[in-house]
Amino acid sequence: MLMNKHKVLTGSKVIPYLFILPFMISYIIFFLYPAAYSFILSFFSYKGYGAAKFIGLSNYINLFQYGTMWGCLANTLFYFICSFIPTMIFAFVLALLVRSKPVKKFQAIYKPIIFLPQVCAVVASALCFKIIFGERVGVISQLLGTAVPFLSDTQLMRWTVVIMMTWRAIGWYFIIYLSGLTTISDEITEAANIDGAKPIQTVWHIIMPLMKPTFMMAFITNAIGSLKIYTEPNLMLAQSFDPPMQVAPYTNLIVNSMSSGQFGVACAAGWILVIVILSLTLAQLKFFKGDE
Amino acid sequence: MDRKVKLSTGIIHLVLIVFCLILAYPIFVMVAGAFKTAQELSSNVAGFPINPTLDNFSRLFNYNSGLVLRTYFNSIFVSASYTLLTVIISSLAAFAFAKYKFKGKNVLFIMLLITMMIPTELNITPLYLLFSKLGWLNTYKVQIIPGIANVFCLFLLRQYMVTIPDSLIEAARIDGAKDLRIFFKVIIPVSVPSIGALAILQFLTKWNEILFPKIMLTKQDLMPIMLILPTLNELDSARSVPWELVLAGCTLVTIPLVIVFLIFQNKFLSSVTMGAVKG
Repeated sequence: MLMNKHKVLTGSKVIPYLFILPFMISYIIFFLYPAAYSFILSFFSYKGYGAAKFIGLSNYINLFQYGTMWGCLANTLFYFICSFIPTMIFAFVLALLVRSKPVKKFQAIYKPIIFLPQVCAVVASALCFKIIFGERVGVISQLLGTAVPFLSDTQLMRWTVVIMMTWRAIGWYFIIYLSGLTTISDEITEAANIDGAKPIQTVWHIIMPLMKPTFMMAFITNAIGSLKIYTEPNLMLAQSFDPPMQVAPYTNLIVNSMSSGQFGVACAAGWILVIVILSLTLAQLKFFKGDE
Repeated sequence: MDRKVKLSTGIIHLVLIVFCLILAYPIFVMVAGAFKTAQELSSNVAGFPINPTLDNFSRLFNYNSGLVLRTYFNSIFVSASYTLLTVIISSLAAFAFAKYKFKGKNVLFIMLLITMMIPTELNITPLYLLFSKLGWLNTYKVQIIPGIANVFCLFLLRQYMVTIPDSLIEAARIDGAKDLRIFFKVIIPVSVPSIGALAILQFLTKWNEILFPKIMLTKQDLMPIMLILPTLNELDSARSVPWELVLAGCTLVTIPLVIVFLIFQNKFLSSVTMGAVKG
């Protein structure tokens, strides 16, 4: 019986390959091949027609010497960090509150409302926040009775994007934290309570260490998602699609290089983003594994 | 003591209610604005519509000879077909990885997991070049087919299918069922909860997609509605943006999803936690 356990379906040797075939074919054509192609192309100068010319590391070197690249990277990191901190704090506190004993039975009311912004399409939310922060018909400008230049002052523009990202993301991580909290049994927190621990002590010394894997997962997915940000700043800060470069996210660099026919540069810019994402992920892994 | 507990419960509720109001308010502004006239919007953007009107929606539907409705259906069609294809090919592959023994299985699986770290944004440039050579630009297939080999889906479905007891498969085999029949009659019905949750996630991702279609498409009548909404103001003069129409459009793409969400709330929420707990 034990030997048979993994042999349930070894009838034919070909069948499993047939099952993975459709997946593998589209994976190779639409993912592996383009990824390899973009790696190679990043060492070439290519206009989209004619012959590609090998230029070694020039694309990378030019990008590193290009002030706009650093500017866009800084913008993306700004959007990531400034939305990351409030998102995680609010999501975790809300999850703790909703999960707390006296409120627990009203979960069914709070949960969907907190998650609602996630269901709202990104484009719709971006346009909606454009109205909220608008100068002429803006909600805030109307309520304050004076036009605030939220969408024309470069400093304020960045913060409007951060507010919108936070607004959308809270619900997602709230649900993740809530499900993490439900895996911690009430007995543990009650025992701490009886021992005279204050609620904040219980959260800090008992709940948070137990939630470490959940935090790790949440932090890493948030970082990866935020570093690829495109829609939010582009829709909120521009008339239709092109915001000023001072507030543009990194992805715009790839798009702009493509539309100006510098495909090699676009590929190199893509690989720089990959390296940034990988190193940030590894740093987070190290941070979480480090103090074990 | 009892009063103290009641007081703190009250405070918690108060905090939560304030938060919920803040989180729901932008959606309120959007939906309320969709029923306001241009004049009302310029004086009262923050509150309830005083004389609600459906005029915005009919203007929106007639805009540019029905472009909004057409692209709305494009979005639904593209997102639904993409979701269906993704779920089918991922579950086929997940079944093989979960229940078969074959040569190269582990190497292949680990390789797939490693490449999951590479963001798909990287591939926009080479895919654009590839599709312009293949003549796929400005088609539906360019919107649907790339990305259907979704490693994330494969991984989560495999995790789920591993837990399906082998005895179920054995029983079907004894009854004379062939592999493909086992897949459709045994594996799929048992996996429906996780497949459903993943399908929601995939649908929403595609529904929200902007960057990829923006690069691959130039013909407006093939675009998803998400590319049309931000440009609605361009036909008017550059200074005046018909915000009431934009808000009606935003309401159009949001409200159906909100209704579906409220009905299938648990499915939606489990699609969020699926990746979190099992990954």
